[in-house]
Amino acid sequence: MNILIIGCGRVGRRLVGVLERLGHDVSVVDAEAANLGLLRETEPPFSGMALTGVPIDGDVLRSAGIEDCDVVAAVTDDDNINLMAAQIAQKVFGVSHVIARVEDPSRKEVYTERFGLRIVCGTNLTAQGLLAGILQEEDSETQCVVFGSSTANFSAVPAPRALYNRPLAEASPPRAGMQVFGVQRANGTMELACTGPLVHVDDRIVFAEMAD
Amino acid sequence: MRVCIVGGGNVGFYLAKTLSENGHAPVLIDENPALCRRVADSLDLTVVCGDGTLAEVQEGAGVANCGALAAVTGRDEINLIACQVAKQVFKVRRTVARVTNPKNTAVLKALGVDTAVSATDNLTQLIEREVETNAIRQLLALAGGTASLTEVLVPEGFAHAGKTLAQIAVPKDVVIVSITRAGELLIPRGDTRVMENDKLVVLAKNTAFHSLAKSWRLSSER
Repeated sequence: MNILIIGCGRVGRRLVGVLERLGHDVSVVDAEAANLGLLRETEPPFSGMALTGVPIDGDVLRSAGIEDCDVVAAVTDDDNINLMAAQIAQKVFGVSHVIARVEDPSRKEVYTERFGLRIVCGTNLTAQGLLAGILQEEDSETQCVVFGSSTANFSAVPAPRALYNRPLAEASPPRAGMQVFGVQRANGTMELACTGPLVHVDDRIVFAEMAD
Repeated sequence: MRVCIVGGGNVGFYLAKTLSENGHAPVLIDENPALCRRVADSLDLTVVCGDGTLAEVQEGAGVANCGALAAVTGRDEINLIACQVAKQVFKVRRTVARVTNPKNTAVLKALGVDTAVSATDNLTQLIEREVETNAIRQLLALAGGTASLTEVLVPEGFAHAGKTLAQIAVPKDVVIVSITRAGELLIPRGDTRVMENDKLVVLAKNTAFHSLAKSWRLSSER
Protein backbone atom coordinates (compact mmCIF):
# COMPACT_ATOMS: atom_id res chain seq x y z
CA MET A 1 0.00 0.00 0.00
CA ASN A 2 1.02 3.63 -0.42
CA ILE A 3 1.07 5.14 3.05
CA LEU A 4 1.68 8.76 4.05
CA ILE A 5 2.88 9.34 7.59
CA ILE A 6 2.51 12.92 8.80
CA GLY A 7 4.91 13.61 11.65
CA CYS A 8 8.31 12.04 12.08
CA GLY A 9 8.87 12.06 15.85
CA ARG A 10 9.24 8.88 17.88
CA VAL A 11 5.85 7.51 16.92
CA GLY A 12 6.22 8.42 13.24
CA ARG A 13 9.69 6.90 13.00
CA ARG A 14 8.52 3.69 14.61
CA LEU A 15 5.57 3.44 12.23
CA VAL A 16 7.76 4.13 9.22
CA GLY A 17 10.20 1.40 10.26
CA VAL A 18 7.54 -1.24 10.80
CA LEU A 19 5.59 -0.39 7.66
CA GLU A 20 8.68 -0.44 5.47
CA ARG A 21 9.67 -3.81 6.86
CA LEU A 22 6.18 -5.08 6.01
CA GLY A 23 6.83 -4.05 2.43
CA HIS A 24 4.67 -0.93 2.08
CA ASP A 25 5.60 2.21 0.17
CA VAL A 26 5.93 4.89 2.81
CA SER A 27 6.30 8.65 2.49
CA VAL A 28 6.80 10.98 5.44
CA VAL A 29 6.21 14.67 6.04
CA ASP A 30 7.58 16.67 8.96
CA ALA A 31 7.99 20.40 9.56
CA GLU A 32 11.56 19.86 10.85
CA ALA A 33 14.27 18.59 8.53
CA ALA A 34 16.17 17.34 11.58
CA ASN A 35 13.43 14.83 12.41
CA LEU A 36 13.51 13.45 8.90
CA GLY A 37 17.30 13.26 9.10
CA LEU A 38 17.00 10.63 11.84
CA LEU A 39 15.29 8.33 9.34
CA ARG A 40 18.50 7.96 7.40
CA GLU A 41 20.15 6.40 10.42
CA THR A 42 17.78 3.45 10.64
CA GLU A 43 18.98 0.01 9.65
CA PRO A 44 18.17 -0.64 6.83
CA PRO A 45 18.01 3.03 5.77
CA PHE A 46 14.68 4.56 4.85
CA SER A 47 14.00 4.18 1.15
CA GLY A 48 10.78 6.16 0.75
CA MET A 49 10.15 9.86 0.24
CA ALA A 50 10.78 12.26 3.11
CA LEU A 51 9.53 15.82 2.68
CA THR A 52 10.12 18.80 4.95
CA GLY A 53 7.13 21.09 5.08
CA VAL A 54 4.13 22.33 7.02
CA PRO A 55 1.82 19.30 7.32
CA ILE A 56 -1.39 21.33 7.09
CA ASP A 57 -0.41 22.95 3.79
CA GLY A 58 -2.23 21.37 0.86
CA ASP A 59 0.68 21.99 -1.51
CA VAL A 60 3.10 20.21 0.81
CA LEU A 61 0.78 17.23 1.11
CA ARG A 62 0.35 17.14 -2.64
CA SER A 63 4.13 17.12 -3.12
CA ALA A 64 4.33 14.25 -0.66
CA GLY A 65 2.02 12.28 -2.93
CA ILE A 66 -1.17 12.32 -0.87
CA GLU A 67 -3.28 12.03 -4.00
CA ASP A 68 -1.91 8.53 -4.67
CA CYS A 69 -2.08 7.34 -1.09
CA ASP A 70 -4.17 4.48 0.19
CA VAL A 71 -3.73 5.45 3.85
CA VAL A 72 -2.83 8.67 5.65
CA ALA A 73 -1.80 8.65 9.32
CA ALA A 74 -1.38 11.99 11.14
CA VAL A 75 0.87 11.29 14.12
CA THR A 76 2.64 14.50 15.13
CA ASP A 77 2.72 15.44 18.82
CA ASP A 78 0.19 18.21 18.22
CA ASP A 79 -3.45 17.05 18.39
CA ASN A 80 -4.82 20.01 16.47
CA ILE A 81 -2.36 19.62 13.61
CA ASN A 82 -3.22 15.93 13.40
CA LEU A 83 -6.95 16.63 13.37
CA MET A 84 -6.60 19.30 10.71
CA ALA A 85 -4.28 17.21 8.53
CA ALA A 86 -6.59 14.19 8.82
CA GLN A 87 -9.60 16.23 7.75
CA ILE A 88 -7.69 17.79 4.86
CA ALA A 89 -6.73 14.29 3.73
CA GLN A 90 -10.36 13.20 3.88
CA LYS A 91 -12.29 16.23 2.66
CA VAL A 92 -9.83 17.97 0.32
CA PHE A 93 -7.97 14.98 -1.10
CA GLY A 94 -10.68 12.35 -0.75
CA VAL A 95 -8.52 9.75 1.03
CA SER A 96 -10.98 7.40 2.73
CA HIS A 97 -8.59 5.51 5.01
CA VAL A 98 -7.35 8.16 7.44
CA ILE A 99 -6.24 7.81 11.05
CA ALA A 100 -5.17 10.46 13.54
CA ARG A 101 -3.24 10.42 16.79
CA VAL A 102 -4.90 12.56 19.46
CA GLU A 103 -3.40 12.56 22.93
CA ASP A 104 -6.08 14.48 24.81
CA PRO A 105 -8.79 11.95 25.77
CA SER A 106 -11.68 14.43 25.72
CA ARG A 107 -10.65 15.79 22.36
CA LYS A 108 -10.44 12.22 21.08
CA GLU A 109 -13.97 11.61 22.28
CA VAL A 110 -15.38 14.71 20.58
CA TYR A 111 -13.74 13.92 17.27
CA THR A 112 -14.60 10.20 17.17
CA GLU A 113 -18.21 10.73 18.22
CA ARG A 114 -19.10 13.91 16.37
CA PHE A 115 -16.80 13.86 13.38
CA GLY A 116 -16.49 10.13 12.82
CA LEU A 117 -12.70 10.30 12.58
CA ARG A 118 -10.64 7.21 13.29
CA ILE A 119 -8.40 8.10 16.22
CA VAL A 120 -5.85 6.45 18.45
CA CYS A 121 -5.32 8.05 21.88
CA GLY A 122 -1.89 7.30 23.28
CA THR A 123 -2.75 8.70 26.69
CA ASN A 124 -5.61 6.23 27.17
CA LEU A 125 -3.64 3.26 25.89
CA THR A 126 -0.59 4.07 27.99
CA ALA A 127 -2.67 4.57 31.11
CA GLN A 128 -4.52 1.32 30.52
CA GLY A 129 -1.34 -0.59 29.90
CA LEU A 130 0.19 0.75 33.09
CA LEU A 131 -3.03 0.11 35.00
CA ALA A 132 -3.05 -3.49 33.91
CA GLY A 133 0.58 -3.75 35.01
CA ILE A 134 -0.14 -2.14 38.37
CA LEU A 135 -3.35 -3.99 39.22
CA GLN A 136 -3.06 -7.36 37.61
CA GLU A 137 -1.63 -10.43 39.24
CA GLU A 138 1.66 -11.88 38.18
CA ASP A 139 1.56 -14.68 35.67
CA SER A 140 -1.17 -13.23 33.48
CA GLU A 141 -1.18 -12.46 29.81
CA THR A 142 -2.83 -9.54 27.98
CA GLN A 143 -3.83 -9.01 24.38
CA CYS A 144 -5.12 -5.79 22.81
CA VAL A 145 -7.53 -5.80 19.91
CA VAL A 146 -8.38 -2.62 18.04
CA PHE A 147 -11.87 -1.97 16.66
CA GLY A 148 -12.07 1.39 14.87
CA SER A 149 -11.10 4.01 17.45
CA SER A 150 -11.57 1.70 20.43
CA THR A 151 -9.26 -0.87 21.94
CA ALA A 152 -10.36 -3.94 23.85
CA ASN A 153 -8.06 -5.67 26.36
CA PHE A 154 -8.18 -9.40 26.95
CA SER A 155 -6.31 -10.76 29.95
CA ALA A 156 -5.86 -14.38 30.89
CA VAL A 157 -5.53 -14.98 34.63
CA PRO A 158 -4.94 -18.34 36.37
CA ALA A 159 -8.24 -19.67 37.74
CA PRO A 160 -8.53 -19.46 41.53
CA ARG A 161 -8.83 -22.74 43.45
CA ALA A 162 -12.32 -21.84 44.59
CA LEU A 163 -13.57 -22.09 41.01
CA TYR A 164 -12.27 -25.57 40.20
CA ASN A 165 -15.18 -27.65 38.87
CA ARG A 166 -17.51 -24.70 39.21
CA PRO A 167 -19.30 -23.11 36.21
CA LEU A 168 -17.32 -20.29 34.59
CA ALA A 169 -20.39 -18.09 35.14
CA GLU A 170 -19.43 -17.95 38.84
CA ALA A 171 -16.14 -16.19 38.07
CA SER A 172 -16.07 -12.54 38.99
CA PRO A 173 -13.77 -10.07 37.25
CA PRO A 174 -11.10 -8.33 39.35
CA ARG A 175 -12.46 -4.85 38.60
CA ALA A 176 -15.48 -2.94 37.34
CA GLY A 177 -15.84 -2.59 33.57
CA MET A 178 -14.48 -6.09 33.00
CA GLN A 179 -16.48 -9.10 31.93
CA VAL A 180 -15.75 -12.80 31.69
CA PHE A 181 -14.95 -13.66 28.09
CA GLY A 182 -14.04 -17.31 28.20
CA VAL A 183 -11.76 -19.97 29.64
CA GLN A 184 -8.38 -21.04 28.29
CA ARG A 185 -7.54 -24.68 28.87
CA ALA A 186 -4.12 -26.02 29.77
CA ASN A 187 -3.77 -27.49 26.27
CA GLY A 188 -4.18 -24.01 24.79
CA THR A 189 -7.77 -24.35 23.50
CA MET A 190 -10.35 -21.80 24.54
CA GLU A 191 -14.09 -21.84 25.18
CA LEU A 192 -16.39 -18.85 25.23
CA ALA A 193 -18.34 -18.01 28.40
CA CYS A 194 -21.63 -18.37 26.50
CA THR A 195 -21.03 -22.13 26.08
CA GLY A 196 -21.35 -22.51 29.87
CA PRO A 197 -18.06 -24.32 30.54
CA LEU A 198 -16.81 -25.69 33.85
CA VAL A 199 -13.50 -24.47 35.21
CA HIS A 200 -10.76 -27.08 35.46
CA VAL A 201 -7.44 -27.15 37.30
CA ASP A 202 -4.71 -25.23 35.41
CA ASP A 203 -7.30 -23.26 33.40
CA ARG A 204 -6.90 -19.55 32.88
CA ILE A 205 -9.93 -17.30 32.94
CA VAL A 206 -10.01 -14.77 30.10
CA PHE A 207 -11.50 -11.39 30.97
CA ALA A 208 -12.41 -8.60 28.52
CA GLU A 209 -12.48 -4.84 29.14
CA MET A 210 -12.25 -1.64 27.09
CA ALA A 211 -8.79 -0.06 27.18
CA ASP A 212 -10.08 2.94 25.21
CA MET B 1 -24.59 39.55 21.49
CA ARG B 2 -22.40 37.26 23.55
CA VAL B 3 -19.26 36.54 21.53
CA CYS B 4 -16.48 34.15 22.47
CA ILE B 5 -12.99 35.08 21.31
CA VAL B 6 -10.28 32.42 21.30
CA GLY B 7 -6.85 34.01 21.35
CA GLY B 8 -5.78 36.90 23.56
CA GLY B 9 -2.89 38.30 21.54
CA ASN B 10 -3.07 41.64 19.76
CA VAL B 11 -5.84 40.65 17.38
CA GLY B 12 -7.98 39.09 20.10
CA PHE B 13 -7.37 41.98 22.45
CA TYR B 14 -8.44 44.69 20.02
CA LEU B 15 -11.32 42.57 18.74
CA ALA B 16 -12.62 42.18 22.31
CA LYS B 17 -12.15 45.89 22.95
CA THR B 18 -14.01 46.91 19.78
CA LEU B 19 -16.87 44.46 20.30
CA SER B 20 -17.22 45.73 23.86
CA GLU B 21 -17.35 49.34 22.69
CA ASN B 22 -19.98 48.37 20.12
CA GLY B 23 -22.21 47.05 22.88
CA HIS B 24 -21.55 43.31 22.68
CA ALA B 25 -20.50 41.04 25.51
CA PRO B 26 -17.22 39.33 24.61
CA VAL B 27 -15.71 36.43 26.56
CA LEU B 28 -12.05 35.73 25.87
CA ILE B 29 -10.15 32.44 26.13
CA ASP B 30 -6.37 32.14 26.05
CA GLU B 31 -3.89 29.56 27.33
CA ASN B 32 -1.26 32.01 28.48
CA PRO B 33 -1.90 33.32 32.01
CA ALA B 34 0.10 36.50 31.37
CA LEU B 35 -2.01 37.38 28.31
CA CYS B 36 -5.19 36.58 30.23
CA ARG B 37 -4.14 38.90 33.03
CA ARG B 38 -3.33 41.69 30.57
CA VAL B 39 -6.77 41.46 28.99
CA ALA B 40 -8.58 41.14 32.31
CA ASP B 41 -6.71 44.16 33.68
CA SER B 42 -7.29 46.43 30.69
CA LEU B 43 -10.77 45.44 29.60
CA ASP B 44 -13.91 44.85 31.60
CA LEU B 45 -14.87 41.40 30.40
CA THR B 46 -14.72 37.73 31.38
CA VAL B 47 -11.44 36.01 30.63
CA VAL B 48 -10.99 32.23 30.80
CA CYS B 49 -7.47 30.83 30.98
CA GLY B 50 -7.36 27.53 29.16
CA ASP B 51 -7.10 25.67 25.85
CA GLY B 52 -9.89 27.08 23.67
CA THR B 53 -9.93 23.96 21.51
CA LEU B 54 -11.16 21.78 24.37
CA ALA B 55 -14.90 21.29 24.89
CA GLU B 56 -14.64 21.61 28.69
CA VAL B 57 -12.90 24.99 28.43
CA GLN B 58 -15.46 26.30 25.93
CA GLU B 59 -18.21 25.08 28.21
CA GLY B 60 -16.69 26.96 31.14
CA ALA B 61 -16.62 30.10 29.02
CA GLY B 62 -20.32 29.76 28.25
CA VAL B 63 -19.87 29.16 24.55
CA ALA B 64 -23.26 27.44 24.48
CA ASN B 65 -24.85 30.85 25.05
CA CYS B 66 -22.77 32.70 22.50
CA GLY B 67 -24.11 33.91 19.20
CA ALA B 68 -20.67 33.71 17.64
CA LEU B 69 -17.17 32.38 18.23
CA ALA B 70 -14.13 34.04 16.69
CA ALA B 71 -10.87 32.10 16.76
CA VAL B 72 -8.07 34.56 16.14
CA THR B 73 -4.84 32.93 17.32
CA GLY B 74 -1.83 32.91 15.03
CA ARG B 75 -2.20 29.18 14.36
CA ASP B 76 -4.65 28.05 11.70
CA GLU B 77 -5.04 24.56 13.16
CA ILE B 78 -6.04 25.93 16.58
CA ASN B 79 -8.55 28.28 15.01
CA LEU B 80 -10.06 25.45 12.97
CA ILE B 81 -10.49 23.07 15.90
CA ALA B 82 -11.92 25.79 18.16
CA CYS B 83 -14.53 26.66 15.53
CA GLN B 84 -15.40 23.03 14.84
CA VAL B 85 -15.91 22.20 18.51
CA ALA B 86 -18.02 25.33 19.04
CA LYS B 87 -20.26 24.46 16.12
CA GLN B 88 -20.57 20.70 16.62
CA VAL B 89 -20.71 20.49 20.40
CA PHE B 90 -22.30 23.81 21.36
CA LYS B 91 -24.24 24.60 18.18
CA VAL B 92 -22.83 28.13 17.92
CA ARG B 93 -24.58 29.82 15.00
CA ARG B 94 -21.64 31.69 13.56
CA THR B 95 -17.95 30.72 13.60
CA VAL B 96 -15.19 33.00 12.36
CA ALA B 97 -11.55 32.02 11.98
CA ARG B 98 -8.46 34.08 11.35
CA VAL B 99 -6.29 32.43 8.73
CA THR B 100 -2.57 33.05 8.45
CA ASN B 101 -1.77 30.90 5.43
CA PRO B 102 -4.05 32.30 2.69
CA LYS B 103 -4.41 28.85 1.15
CA ASN B 104 -6.13 27.65 4.31
CA THR B 105 -9.08 30.03 3.78
CA ALA B 106 -10.78 27.63 1.37
CA VAL B 107 -9.79 24.62 3.49
CA LEU B 108 -11.32 26.01 6.66
CA LYS B 109 -14.53 26.89 4.85
CA ALA B 110 -14.67 23.36 3.42
CA LEU B 111 -14.26 21.99 6.94
CA GLY B 112 -17.27 23.89 8.28
CA VAL B 113 -16.02 27.30 9.44
CA ASP B 114 -18.62 29.93 8.46
CA THR B 115 -16.20 32.79 7.78
CA ALA B 116 -12.44 32.55 7.29
CA VAL B 117 -10.49 35.79 7.12
CA SER B 118 -6.96 36.03 5.80
CA ALA B 119 -5.25 39.28 6.70
CA THR B 120 -2.49 38.40 4.23
CA ASP B 121 -4.99 38.18 1.37
CA ASN B 122 -6.60 41.49 2.25
CA LEU B 123 -3.26 43.26 2.47
CA THR B 124 -2.05 41.67 -0.77
CA GLN B 125 -5.07 42.89 -2.64
CA LEU B 126 -4.84 46.38 -1.21
CA ILE B 127 -1.16 46.64 -2.05
CA GLU B 128 -1.63 45.35 -5.56
CA ARG B 129 -4.48 47.74 -6.17
CA GLU B 130 -2.46 50.71 -4.95
CA VAL B 131 0.47 49.85 -7.14
CA GLU B 132 -1.77 49.27 -10.15
CA THR B 133 -2.83 52.80 -11.05
CA ASN B 134 -4.86 55.69 -9.65
CA ALA B 135 -7.33 55.48 -12.50
CA ILE B 136 -8.71 52.34 -10.88
CA ARG B 137 -10.89 52.30 -7.76
CA GLN B 138 -12.30 49.15 -6.21
CA LEU B 139 -15.97 49.56 -5.36
CA LEU B 140 -16.80 46.13 -4.00
CA ALA B 141 -14.99 42.87 -3.27
CA LEU B 142 -16.94 39.77 -4.31
CA ALA B 143 -16.71 35.99 -4.14
CA GLY B 144 -14.63 35.90 -0.95
CA GLY B 145 -12.21 38.46 -2.34
CA THR B 146 -11.41 36.70 -5.61
CA ALA B 147 -13.42 39.08 -7.79
CA SER B 148 -14.29 42.78 -7.70
CA LEU B 149 -16.55 45.50 -8.99
CA THR B 150 -14.15 48.26 -10.01
CA GLU B 151 -14.49 51.79 -11.37
CA VAL B 152 -12.05 52.55 -14.19
CA LEU B 153 -11.34 55.99 -15.68
CA VAL B 154 -10.50 55.72 -19.36
CA PRO B 155 -7.37 57.85 -19.81
CA GLU B 156 -6.54 60.48 -22.42
CA GLY B 157 -4.74 58.86 -25.29
CA PHE B 158 -6.53 55.55 -24.72
CA ALA B 159 -5.40 53.31 -27.58
CA HIS B 160 -8.90 52.00 -28.27
CA ALA B 161 -10.80 55.31 -27.92
CA GLY B 162 -13.74 55.39 -30.30
CA LYS B 163 -13.86 51.62 -30.82
CA THR B 164 -16.88 49.50 -29.87
CA LEU B 165 -16.65 46.97 -27.08
CA ALA B 166 -16.89 44.24 -29.68
CA GLN B 167 -13.83 45.65 -31.46
CA ILE B 168 -11.73 46.12 -28.32
CA ALA B 169 -10.11 42.98 -26.88
CA VAL B 170 -11.99 42.66 -23.59
CA PRO B 171 -10.29 39.83 -21.68
CA LYS B 172 -12.20 36.70 -20.66
CA ASP B 173 -13.77 36.86 -17.16
CA VAL B 174 -14.33 40.63 -17.51
CA VAL B 175 -17.70 42.32 -18.00
CA ILE B 176 -18.18 46.04 -18.60
CA VAL B 177 -21.28 46.68 -16.52
CA SER B 178 -21.82 50.37 -17.19
CA ILE B 179 -20.30 53.42 -18.91
CA THR B 180 -20.83 56.88 -17.48
CA ARG B 181 -20.19 59.71 -19.94
CA ALA B 182 -20.96 63.37 -19.30
CA GLY B 183 -23.03 62.44 -16.29
CA GLU B 184 -25.15 59.91 -18.18
CA LEU B 185 -25.03 56.19 -17.39
CA LEU B 186 -25.19 53.76 -20.32
CA ILE B 187 -25.64 50.03 -20.11
CA PRO B 188 -23.26 48.89 -22.85
CA ARG B 189 -23.69 46.27 -25.53
CA GLY B 190 -21.20 45.02 -28.10
CA ASP B 191 -21.80 48.05 -30.32
CA THR B 192 -21.30 50.67 -27.57
CA ARG B 193 -18.18 52.77 -28.07
CA VAL B 194 -15.61 53.56 -25.35
CA MET B 195 -14.29 57.15 -25.26
CA GLU B 196 -11.54 58.91 -23.33
CA ASN B 197 -12.66 60.13 -19.88
CA ASP B 198 -15.48 57.56 -19.74
CA LYS B 199 -15.98 56.06 -16.28
CA LEU B 200 -16.49 52.32 -16.63
CA VAL B 201 -17.76 49.98 -13.95
CA VAL B 202 -16.09 46.63 -14.51
CA LEU B 203 -17.00 43.27 -12.98
CA ALA B 204 -14.03 40.90 -13.12
CA LYS B 205 -12.10 38.12 -11.44
CA ASN B 206 -9.01 39.73 -9.93
CA THR B 207 -6.55 37.86 -12.14
CA ALA B 208 -8.50 38.92 -15.23
CA PHE B 209 -8.48 42.50 -14.04
CA HIS B 210 -4.69 42.52 -14.09
CA SER B 211 -4.83 41.46 -17.74
CA LEU B 212 -7.30 44.23 -18.50
CA ALA B 213 -5.17 46.91 -16.86
CA LYS B 214 -2.20 45.66 -18.85
CA SER B 215 -3.86 45.32 -22.24
CA TRP B 216 -5.60 48.68 -21.98
CA ARG B 217 -2.40 50.23 -20.65
CA LEU B 218 -4.27 51.92 -17.82
CA SER B 219 -1.45 53.81 -16.19
CA SER B 220 -2.27 57.49 -16.11
CA GLU B 221 -3.08 59.30 -12.89
CA ARG B 222 -6.60 60.31 -11.94
